[in-house]
Amino acid sequence: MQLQDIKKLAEMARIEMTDQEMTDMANDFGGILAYVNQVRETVGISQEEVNFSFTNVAREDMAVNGGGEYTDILVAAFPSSEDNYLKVKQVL
Amino acid sequence: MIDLKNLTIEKAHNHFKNGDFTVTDLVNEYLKVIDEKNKDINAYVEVFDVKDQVSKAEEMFREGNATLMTGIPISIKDNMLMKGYVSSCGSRMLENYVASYDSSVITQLKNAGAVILGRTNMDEFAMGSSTETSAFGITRNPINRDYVPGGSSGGPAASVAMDGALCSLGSDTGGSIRQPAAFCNLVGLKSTYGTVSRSGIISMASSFDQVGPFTKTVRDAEILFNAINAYDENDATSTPTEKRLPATPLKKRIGIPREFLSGDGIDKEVLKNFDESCEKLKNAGYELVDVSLPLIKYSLAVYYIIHPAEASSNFARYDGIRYGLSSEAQKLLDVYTKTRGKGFGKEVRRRILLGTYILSHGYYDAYYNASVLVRKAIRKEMMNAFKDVDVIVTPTSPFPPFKFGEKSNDPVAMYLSDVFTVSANVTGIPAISVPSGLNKDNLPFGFQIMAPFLREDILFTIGKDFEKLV
Repeated sequence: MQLQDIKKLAEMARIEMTDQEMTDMANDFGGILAYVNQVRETVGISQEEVNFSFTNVAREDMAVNGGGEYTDILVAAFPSSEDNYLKVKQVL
Repeated sequence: MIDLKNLTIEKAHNHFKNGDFTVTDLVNEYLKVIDEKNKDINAYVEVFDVKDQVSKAEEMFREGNATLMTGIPISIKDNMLMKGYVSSCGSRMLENYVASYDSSVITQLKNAGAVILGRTNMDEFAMGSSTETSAFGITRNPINRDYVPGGSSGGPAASVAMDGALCSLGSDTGGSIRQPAAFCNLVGLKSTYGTVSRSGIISMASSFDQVGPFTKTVRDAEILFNAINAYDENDATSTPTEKRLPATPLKKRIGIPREFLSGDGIDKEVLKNFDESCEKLKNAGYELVDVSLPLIKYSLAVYYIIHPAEASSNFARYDGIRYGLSSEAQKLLDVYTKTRGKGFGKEVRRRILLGTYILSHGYYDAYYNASVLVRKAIRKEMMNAFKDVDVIVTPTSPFPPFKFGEKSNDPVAMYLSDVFTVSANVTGIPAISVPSGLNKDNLPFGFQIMAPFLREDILFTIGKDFEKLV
């Protein structure tokens, strides 16, 4: 892993880091990937052998709370708000 | 003076009923210890004002509604939402985040009248095996303060080991209850995935996380587990009541995965203690059986592929928008990148990037998909082994407690802490760590017992038998 690779990942993950931090990270990655690569040693496990069945337990996508029940407590956590609206930087 | 060292949940309950001391008296004893020791040990990040909880507990005794957990002073890990209180997950990202609802386990504890003394320290976002990565300082092992208490639930473990709580709730994703329990000479249980609700527990890796007890005795772990072991409709992965299994008679056969215990990375004294522990069970009437688990050695690699992928997805929510840390910036994108750069510590950033890499185009198949298959195969292999034995045992940790900084320079060296604990999270089966003696430096060993899905009863039976022999 090179600095360039870490830069790309940091961009994807939306994390700002210094070049030094990213260089250190690239070094760490080497050891970690070397260790986890052993998973690729395991061969011959077919999809069919290990399939389990699944059931969807999600409820219907309908409102179940009264309007405004949690508004105050959620707005209180907003870093920036105006009239119960979450205030953010320009999106477009 | 109440003897906190030898106190158990049932003893406390009987003392309350007999009027030997009140809930107020007991809570005050623990608060005194916290006052005395917490500055140095740093188990607690915040101690709560418990007046109302204490009143409620005492009222429950007066009205005859008290259960075993009523009035019991308990601490919680700093990743369990409790409405109106900060849950910071050991991170600057959530340093001032106030929970807007109660986790289901908190609701259960409140209904039982337990007294939640405060939130305890942890590795940042549960990523670590030593409680060295918390943004709020290290936690020291009360047994020897130069040593780590283990992690990521180092605070919960230390709070009990220092007699700053009678019991605690931690969380375990790869070993984060069992390993600190072993390091602090306590009992730690990770129950079957799905038994304890994850609603309100700040997610690390959603297919691995489970909440569980830290206690001094196996019976106490059983009591605390029973208080939180229930189906919850707010947790889509919660095991329905009708699927939970009853106890059946033991075969009295204990499986030992010999090949798995023969690596270089295992401390000789740990292996010796493990063999002695097995002998004790044999002398108590159990049969020791060698089991072959050729895939179990891939558990740690599988874990370090799948869980960073899940964590990186889970942590996308920390973006400086709706709650938590928010960095000032001109552009929206910079709000994200600066907040996350500032709010996340080094280990968290490392795992997020690892997860991002694993899930990225070109690597998804080779790493993530391959690991999901291997994970299923390990689970199948484990289920097969349990046809012949009641439990499979290993040491909890491959090495005894280590000193601060000893494993901080090499991530993989730290990750290897979990080599024995992680299989239970990969497969979902329940596992308990029980104290099994002290080494020549008076540091504790832990003995890990794993059982089939939904058979926590087997862990309690064999755990209690083992306890008497140590």
